[in-house]
This record gives sequence, structure tokens and C-alpha cells, in this order.
Amino acid sequence: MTRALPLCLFLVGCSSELAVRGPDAETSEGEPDVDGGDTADEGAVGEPFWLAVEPVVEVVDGDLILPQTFGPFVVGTGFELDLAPAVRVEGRVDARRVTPIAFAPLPDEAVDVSGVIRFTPFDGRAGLAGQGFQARVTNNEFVVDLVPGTWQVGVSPEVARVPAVVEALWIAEDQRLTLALDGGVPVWGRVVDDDGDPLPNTRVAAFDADGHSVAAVETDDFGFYELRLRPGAWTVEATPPVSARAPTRRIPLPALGTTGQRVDVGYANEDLVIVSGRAIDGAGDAVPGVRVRLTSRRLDGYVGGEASYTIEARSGSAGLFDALVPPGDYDLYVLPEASVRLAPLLISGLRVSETIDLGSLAMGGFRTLRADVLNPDGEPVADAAVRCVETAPGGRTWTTTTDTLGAFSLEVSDGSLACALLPGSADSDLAGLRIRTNAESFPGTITLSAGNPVGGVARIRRADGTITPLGRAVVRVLDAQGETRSLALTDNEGAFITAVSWDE
Amino acid sequence: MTSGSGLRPGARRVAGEPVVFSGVRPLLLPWLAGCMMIGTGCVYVLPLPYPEPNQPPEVIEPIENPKTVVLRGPAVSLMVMATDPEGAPVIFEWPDLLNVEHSFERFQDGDFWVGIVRIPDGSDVASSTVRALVHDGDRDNLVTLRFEVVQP
Repeated sequence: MTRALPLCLFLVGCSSELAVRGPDAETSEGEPDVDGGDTADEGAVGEPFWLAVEPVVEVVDGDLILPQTFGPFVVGTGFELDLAPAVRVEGRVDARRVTPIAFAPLPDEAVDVSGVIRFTPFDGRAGLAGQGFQARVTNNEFVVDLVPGTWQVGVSPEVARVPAVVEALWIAEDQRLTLALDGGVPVWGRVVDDDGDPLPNTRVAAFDADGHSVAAVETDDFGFYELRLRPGAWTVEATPPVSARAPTRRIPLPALGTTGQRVDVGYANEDLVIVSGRAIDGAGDAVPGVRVRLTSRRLDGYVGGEASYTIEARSGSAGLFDALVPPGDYDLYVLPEASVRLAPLLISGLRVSETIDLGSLAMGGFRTLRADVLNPDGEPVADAAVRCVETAPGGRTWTTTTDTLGAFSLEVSDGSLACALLPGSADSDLAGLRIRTNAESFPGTITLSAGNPVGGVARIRRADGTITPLGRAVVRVLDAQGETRSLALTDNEGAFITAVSWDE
Repeated sequence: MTSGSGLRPGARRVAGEPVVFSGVRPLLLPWLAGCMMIGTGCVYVLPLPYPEPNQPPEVIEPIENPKTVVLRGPAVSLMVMATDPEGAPVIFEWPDLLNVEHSFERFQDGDFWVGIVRIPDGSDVASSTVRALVHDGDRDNLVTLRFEVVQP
């Protein structure tokens, strides 16, 4: 049966079906409902956090249970996290061709749409970037399984001259959905280079106020694009193809109204310059095949963060590399292949105003971290998970576990690391710890502090109100940046307990 | 937190495994209390250590191998839960992700070890197979899992 979707534009009267109960379950507007639950700690302290529940088994008693996130909370126990079974949306995308250059009138010509449809969090769940659901649109049709709730829906067609669209929809049950790509508020314009010539195949994306990339289109042969958005705060980002060697431009639209807005994108007239160098190892031998990534901090001719440029080059057999970039201030990373036992190299704040040869850039090797992990009483903490990640782009990860004496050793690259220690279940009263340091400065003794308990039970709540155990699931405590601060595995009934601390 | 399971794996011998000396045969245990009476004499029996093969980890989840993982969002997570018969820490390796941006976490809860990989741009592994190598430090005795990442 096909029927109209209950449309919930602009969040008026919207609420989420995701249910959570908990004494400390403080929420912000637009978050899942919270009502009083069991007794719990009063006067909870600390930063807000989110609880992400990822079932070990996807299908429970015939229902598809997808990962779901609850919050924000402050510390406490007794949280009842009710996961809703997934709903299936089958839908159709209808589009009509947009006239190049001029926006209106639209020719009355239906076109096939293929591309990607994305459902992104609507309610400002900070730090949860990367979450959401997506599906392929093929010949105007799509099928997607998702968690009930309010979602922004964006379509990113693969062909130019078809606008993208963003709507906010309340989806509570299996349904059929039809999206017309000529709805919403038009944001359109042209992308041209510093000579005023059009830049076709430029990707123009709309980012919401939370930084979610919601929908994108490509410019046509005339540099023309059109997005269809809802009123509110947006940022339009234009990324020309690599061959154009032009920066990514960001244009904020702090208050898009209901009448639409023309946003043209142009570029400063700056000559490109060459950055070159040679990658070598500690013995002075050439290192071929390394990636050299230049990411701008600031570009000449532009204000603040309105433009950025990133490019990658690879070193040749003699370790030589060069890259053509717009003038500005850059961070330059020399990144080894993951399987190569060399450390990344960073030159931060590199000023590039004219062609520059950096000479030989020596990459470090590996070193072994050794440390003892203790509890506040000075006793060893066994079975704590140790994870270290290179802070360079695409950084490698190394993990190990403390032994019965609380000791560990871990071979890592000799550079900047972000490490995390997470106590095992026998020490669930201890908080995890994060350490950001260079490998050579890594401490030899690490003391974990008693944390604030975070616990509860994850369950399945079906549409008819029945509640059943979830079974085993991984529960993450996420901070506002989306970083994992603690991990727990639920028992067979879905119960979990862990601890978190905001002390670094 | 409880972690009881009833999921402990049964003993299983795998040909070609390295051996460890970690036990005595139960029938020889009376020697430890003294001697065995045979007729009117007392015979001391020397316990002989016997080799006990190292067992590979038992994978609790996923049950299917290969497991099909649907790319439902911008990111994709792959999870393995395993336990080791000898109680050794379980190690997870992801050899197909060497040049794919990802984050990896591994933690222990009771007998269980969990390894989770999160690939922020799941399209990097769409329509491909990602292997997880699960072992207890003895890489000659590992379990290979395959995740087939598919578009919905």
C-alpha cells in the first residue's frame, strides 16, 4: 500500500521514538524522550556523553536491530536503553530537469535518478558524525532499513542538472515514501575559475549546522548547480575536480529563508607554486611510494576558513616528490605505506609563497613502548586493553593487553600517538585513560583512576510496547567529539557497567 | 558484569599444532598422594607429562563465515567476539585494511574478547572481502573469518 509519509518539517511537533529511561538521563531538545526511572545517583557531575549500543547479533527474534545511540547523559547507573527494531522504507525519487544557468522555469521533463539517498541525524546530536543510513537510488527507486526517528533526507544524484533535496522526516514504521526533487528552498549558482570560466564537475555539497554532509550535486558544463534545502543554517561547499587545482570553497548561509538564494563561487587569482623534496629513512636511503599530503591552514587571497586545499603526491623511486599548490600556509605530512616500518613525518605551518625545495626529509622508525598500569592503590591492572593510533592522517593502530603484572609492551612508530587504556571487566570501576604524546615521551608507569560508574541495561522495545532482552551488545561511552571514552560488553540480559572519567 | 556463557568450547585436537606440556594424566594422580598398592608391594609411578595441543580461539560471533555485512550508512563496523580454550588473550588482525582508514578496538570481558573495526568511509571496502585473523599469539594456529561488505 502506498500512502503519504507523515511529514514533520522543521521539527515542529517531532519527537523520537527511541526511548531511554534513566535517573540521570538528561536530554537536550530533540533528544529521545526521558522519563523517570529507577533511583540513581544524584548530583551527577562531568561532561555530557552518549551511549552507543551495537548488538553483537543483528537479528534478534526475527527483528533487525541496528546500532543506536542515546544521550546526552551525565554519569549514573540505571539507564534503560530501549532499542527499536528497524523499519523499512521503500521509496521513489521523482525529478525534473533543471535548466542550465537560469533557475526557472523548469522544463516539464522527468529524468531518471540514480545516486545515493542519505538519512542523517536531524536533532543536533553533536559528535555523531558518520552516523546515519544510506542506500543506492537506482532508476528512481530505493530501499533502506533504518532506526525509527526524525531524519534529514538528502539525495545526491549522480548526474548534473538534477537538484539535491533535503527534508526532515519523522519515520516510525515501515512505509512507502515518494520524494520530489523540486521541493524545498532553492540554493543555486555558478562555480567559475579565476578567469570567470565555468568549472564543470565541481562537487557542491550542503552541510547542516552540525557539520553533517547531507546532499551533494555536481556542476554541469556551465558550472551551474542547484540544491534544494529547508530554511535554516547551512554551509555550501564547492570542491572542484583535482584536475582544476582549485581550492575547496565554503560559503556559510547562516539564515536561509523561504525564498531561496543565489550563491556563486569564484576564485582568487593566485599562481600555483611547486613544493618538492625527497623522502629518506634514518639511514639516508630513498623511500619510494610514500604519500606526501599537503593540507592548507590558510590560503593567500582568502579569509579565514573560507577556502582550503589538500593534495597528495607520491615519491618516486629516488624518493623524490613534487606537488603544485596555491600559495599559503600548509601542514605537510610524509606518510609511509601501512606495511612499512617507518614513522610519519609532519612539517606544520609550512609557509609556501613561492616554489620551494624542502631537501631530504628523514622519516623515523619504530620503537617499543613499555609501561606498567596500576590502580589507585598501586596494584597492577591486568587485562587492560591498550590501543595506540598514529595521529597522522590515516594513522595506523596497534593494540595489546596488559599481562598479570599490569605490564605491556607495544611496538609503534616513533612519532605522535593517541593512546587509550581501557580496563577489563574485572576492573569496571576504573576509568579509561587517554594519552596523547610522542612515542619517546610515553610514561613508564600509568595509574588509572577510579571512574564514575555508568551502567544500565539495553533492551528491545517493540512498537506494541513489549520489552525483551537485547542479548550481547557492545556499549560505547562517547564524548561530544564522538570519541570512545569507555567500552563495555553487555551480558545476555543486556546489562552493562563501566566507568568514565573526564580527567586526562 | 556477568559474563557466564556455557559457551566454552569443547576440546578439539588439530593436526600439526605445536604442543605444550601443561598437564598430567588423571590416572597417574594417585602417585601424588604416595604410592600405588599392587599386591603386597608399593609401586611408585613417575608421572609423564603429555603434550596438550594448543587450541585455536573459538569464535562466538559471527557464526557465519563468510559473513555478509550490509553497508547501511557512511561508516561500517565489523565485530568479532571470541574466546580461547586455554584462556589466552585473543588477538585480531585485519590484513586487508592496511591501506584503508579505520579505527580498531579490542577489549576483554570475562572469557570473551571483542575486536571491532570501524571504517569511517565504508565505501572504501564496499563490494570487497575483509578478513579477520583470530589467534592467541600462535599465528600458525589461527581462525580466518571473512566479511563480505555489500551495498544494500
